[in-house]
Amino acid sequence: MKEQLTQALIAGNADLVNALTQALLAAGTPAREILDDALLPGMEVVGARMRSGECFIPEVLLSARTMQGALDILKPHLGEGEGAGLGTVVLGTVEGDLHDIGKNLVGMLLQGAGFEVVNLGTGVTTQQFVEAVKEHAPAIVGMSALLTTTLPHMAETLAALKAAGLREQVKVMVGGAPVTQAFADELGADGYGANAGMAVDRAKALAAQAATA
Amino acid sequence: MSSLNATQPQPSDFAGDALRPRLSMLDAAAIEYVHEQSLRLLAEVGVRVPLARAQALLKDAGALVDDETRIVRFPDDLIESAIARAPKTVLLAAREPGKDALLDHTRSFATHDGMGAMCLDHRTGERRPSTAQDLLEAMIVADALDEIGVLWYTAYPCDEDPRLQSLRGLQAMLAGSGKHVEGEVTDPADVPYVMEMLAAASPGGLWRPERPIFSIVYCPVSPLQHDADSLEAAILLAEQGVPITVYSLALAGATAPITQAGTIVQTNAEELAAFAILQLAVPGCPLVYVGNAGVMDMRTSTYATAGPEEILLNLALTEMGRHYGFPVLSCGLSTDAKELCVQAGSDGAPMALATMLAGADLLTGAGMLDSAQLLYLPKLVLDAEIIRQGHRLVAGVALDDEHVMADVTRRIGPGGHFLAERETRRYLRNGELLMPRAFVRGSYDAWQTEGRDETQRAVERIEEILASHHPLPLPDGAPQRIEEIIATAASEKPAG
Ligand code: B1M
Repeated sequence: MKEQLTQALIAGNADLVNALTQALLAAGTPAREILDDALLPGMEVVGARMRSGECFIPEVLLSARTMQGALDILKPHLGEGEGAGLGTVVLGTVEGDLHDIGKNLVGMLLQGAGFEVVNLGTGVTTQQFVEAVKEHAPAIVGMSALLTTTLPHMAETLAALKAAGLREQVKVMVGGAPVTQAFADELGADGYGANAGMAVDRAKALAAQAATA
Repeated sequence: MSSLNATQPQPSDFAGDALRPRLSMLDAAAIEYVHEQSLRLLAEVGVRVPLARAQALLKDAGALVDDETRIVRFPDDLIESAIARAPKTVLLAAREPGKDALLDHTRSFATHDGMGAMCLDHRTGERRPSTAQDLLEAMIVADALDEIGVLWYTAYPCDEDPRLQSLRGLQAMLAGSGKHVEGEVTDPADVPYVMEMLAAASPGGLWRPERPIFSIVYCPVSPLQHDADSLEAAILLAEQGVPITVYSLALAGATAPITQAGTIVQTNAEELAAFAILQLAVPGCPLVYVGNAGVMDMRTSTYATAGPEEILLNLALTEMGRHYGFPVLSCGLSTDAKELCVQAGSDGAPMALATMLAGADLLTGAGMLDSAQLLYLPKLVLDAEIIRQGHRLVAGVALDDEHVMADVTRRIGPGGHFLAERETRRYLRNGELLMPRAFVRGSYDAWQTEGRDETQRAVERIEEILASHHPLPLPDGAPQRIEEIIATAASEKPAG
């Protein structure tokens, strides 16, 4: 049944995924096991197919949304704060910038990969990022900017996180069309993604670092 | 044999005409259907308008405003009255006499692509952030090219203080050209500085709303939303008589339905809603409808600017705008290619020609690569050639007795030639045949002997223009005054 669940998730068949998840739980399979053996491997396959060009964005997002439905069913059966296990990402588009298509895409794929995502929306001020980090204690805070005029807010937010004494406890990721690896390095960010797939890979690596640190 | 009446021409009902080819896809019923579907969307789903001032106006005019979600549902008559109220011709005035762009549906004025932040330097071949100097050069080159009628804020001056990039951009545009300039103002706090700069640049030091030398691109946010700051800035500028191009840029499949039909209806609805808001705020303000939408590339999740779907979207939306009688801006020449190559030409030219044949008043897209993100000046020169072809195509065929030239043919008779005739020279000089400027004809040997490729020739043309072309200077003292205004803005605007 677990293999069937994996396949249904890859196909983005929400009804079947929900039914199989319920059935596995009813049969006494631990929630953690359903997640680790069936759902997360399914998303791995989808991610790999996206990278190889076999699978298109809407298909990946459909699987990611289906995954979210299954997680909602599993949540009451998972331990406190256990979730899908990869931790929380606080995500937002910086102040003065309304572009959110890319940021939302990254958010959905992070969710699909097993992160808990707090999406702060667009025009997020430095102060709002700092407050959200205090409130949600995320593993990662992610900033998106699409305008050269709004890029400087990334540096301001980093400075504000430092000033608030929060910089050490959270990894910072940045992205958006004008952001480059060089810009991210200069900024002192921990991660960057040229596209959503790379952003997810980087976030996973950062989460793994944080877990072993 | 009496029926062969060789010397007496047969009488005909056809009195002669200038025949202009047109491209049309929507018939009256289809237009009505798109209109109805758009009205349903606006009445039932509504549009999020997060600006109190606009909400209040809409409420007064009979719209249903949800104070919590800030979603506004538009009654049909509110939209219909905005359609009736919006001016049907719009003047984009130029500083330089004779360079006005009057959008009255008689011709397509071409403009740059925009508004990117990168430049492929034609001198070094390096791809790097664009600068104020790049923007200035893009203006001067376009000022010299007859094919470009209006100038767009094609690249951001990334070397300037981010808080001042809109103003620095405007400064470069005003200095680099006497033609009409269209820019970007999304921060309401910039409006007073912008208006002061425009006054300084205007003849006589006075901004004249009846002759606006500047307009802006205002973007609603798909699906069905507005950004408070951008909307506020647009209203403040409209109050001063600045024309507004309403550019709702949905990406089919991402921020609009993946189907052409869905994206056409949603984009039309977004345009109409913005027209309704702006016409309520500033009755009679000059607006330009944008007949363009994008597509999301589903493999790379990037914005695709070209391809057959874009052409279909442009065609249908341009027709909708024309149906309402509005001046229409649409898009062509844009490309997703990263270099000058077959893709760049094939992405750009068919779309430009289709847009012109559909009757768009303004055509954006010249001079950029990489989905409107990378300015490349040689492409501007080559795109100008495509625009010339488009203008020639749209001019069509003059079909009348004089142009049939039967008398000349009779004179020459079988076996003669037309090359040395006065009429041939006259029509040649009148533009009957297009003379390519940038494109190559002639023999292979001649081309080989010359030894320069397309890009090299375009680069030479650019350098020649930059060395010899002098745009109409700003009024005396204006450059200093503009510099002072920006200095004041720098000291007054909060540090970034
Ligand atoms: C945290 O970690 C991470 C990691 C990776 C991350 C990440 C975070 N965030 C993103 N990524 C990465 O992963 C994503 C998925 O692969 C990628 O995200 P992207 O966002 O890059 O990709 C998306 C999936 C698809 N791409 C997009 O969604 C952006 C496409 C383009 C065409 C674009 C669009 C669609 C829009 N725009 Co605007 N827009 C452009 C864009 C030009 C272009 N060719 O990219 C750009 C960015 N816009 C620009 C401009 C000028 C503007 N836009 C504006 C408005 C709009 C629309 C509303 C029309 C619409 C936005 C709709 C929306 N809801 O977001 C205005 C902005 C106002 C404001 N205050 O923000 C306005 C100022 C125009 C105006 N006159 O008002 C230009 C920027 C120039 C500059 N200075 O940098 C621009 C390059 C277009 C252009 N050539 O004119 C990666 O970057």
